[in-house]
Amino acid sequence: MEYRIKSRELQNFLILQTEGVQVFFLKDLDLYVVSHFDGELYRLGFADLRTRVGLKMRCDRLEEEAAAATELKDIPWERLRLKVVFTLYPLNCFEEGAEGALALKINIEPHRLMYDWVKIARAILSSWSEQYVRWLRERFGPVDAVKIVGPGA
Amino acid sequence: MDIVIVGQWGAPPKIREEALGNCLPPKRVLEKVPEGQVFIVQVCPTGALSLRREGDKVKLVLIPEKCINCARCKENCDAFDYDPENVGVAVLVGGKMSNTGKGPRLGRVLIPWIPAIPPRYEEIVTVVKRVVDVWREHAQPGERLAEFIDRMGWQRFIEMVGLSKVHAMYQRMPDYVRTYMYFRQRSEAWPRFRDGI
Repeated sequence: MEYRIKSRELQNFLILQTEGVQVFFLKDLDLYVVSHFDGELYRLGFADLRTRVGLKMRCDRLEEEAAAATELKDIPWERLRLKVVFTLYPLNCFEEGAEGALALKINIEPHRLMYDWVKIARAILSSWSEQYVRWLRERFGPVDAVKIVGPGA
Repeated sequence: MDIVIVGQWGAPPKIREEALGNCLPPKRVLEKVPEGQVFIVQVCPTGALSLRREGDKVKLVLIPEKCINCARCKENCDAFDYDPENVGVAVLVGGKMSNTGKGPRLGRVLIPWIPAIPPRYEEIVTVVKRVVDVWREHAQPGERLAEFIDRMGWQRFIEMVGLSKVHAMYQRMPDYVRTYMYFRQRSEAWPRFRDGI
């Protein structure tokens, strides 16, 4: 089941979540959020539909091949470390390549849920997207990256 | 700890321009250095602080939509003023240090933000009291809150505490209702939390 909600509502939906997978579409941000909660850890995935990247790669391999794991320091707070995975969530498949939405995967413990993870995820996506696209270009060759902006976006 | 209360600021800080000079490089340096090299811009974990250049003037601006009220800017520079009346707390339940049951564990967020309104902090007291009452009424002898929640199930526990209404209320509330004054003014339109549970 997919919930179409506003970004500020996500925190409460996550708190109410029991074990299992829930999918949310944040309609004010065009952001898909997938939350897999196993009782001890939230595995969150954010797919930003407004930032799309095209690569010459088979669609079914896009998410795995384009995954870049890293550890960010001082995020979300000083002296904290956050392991993140940048990847592409396939949106359009072509014969010669695929187009995917910029996506971020993070794991958080239930006590960290008091922080606004939508804002934090967006901040990470916006500040690291250029570096990630550079990494993609070095690894897979030409990259077609598009960011949809403007009031209607 | 069975019940944890964590204080949080309720809104982004205001920048006190006259004190900001102490936290920024000299003006002639500021005009030349890239934004990313300015220390106070770097400390913001969500990029909510930005340098805006208008002609020969350079101004530090805060983007409220990006701010998560973490106060790291305040720790590094005294020019950021949080409203001391607009504060709240997150309430976490089910943490414990002992080896009983499934062993030590961290708590889970029950309420992400609830206003702290002095002098009696009734909203917070009501939630905590309700959790204790439910636990005292339904828990088995010697059963810690964490094990009690496990036995009941999270959804059932939330229902027993009566927080579904509070969560539903949060979802209807605009962000700015979090501010202290607005919360007070709108108390009739938005029933206070202790009335909700």
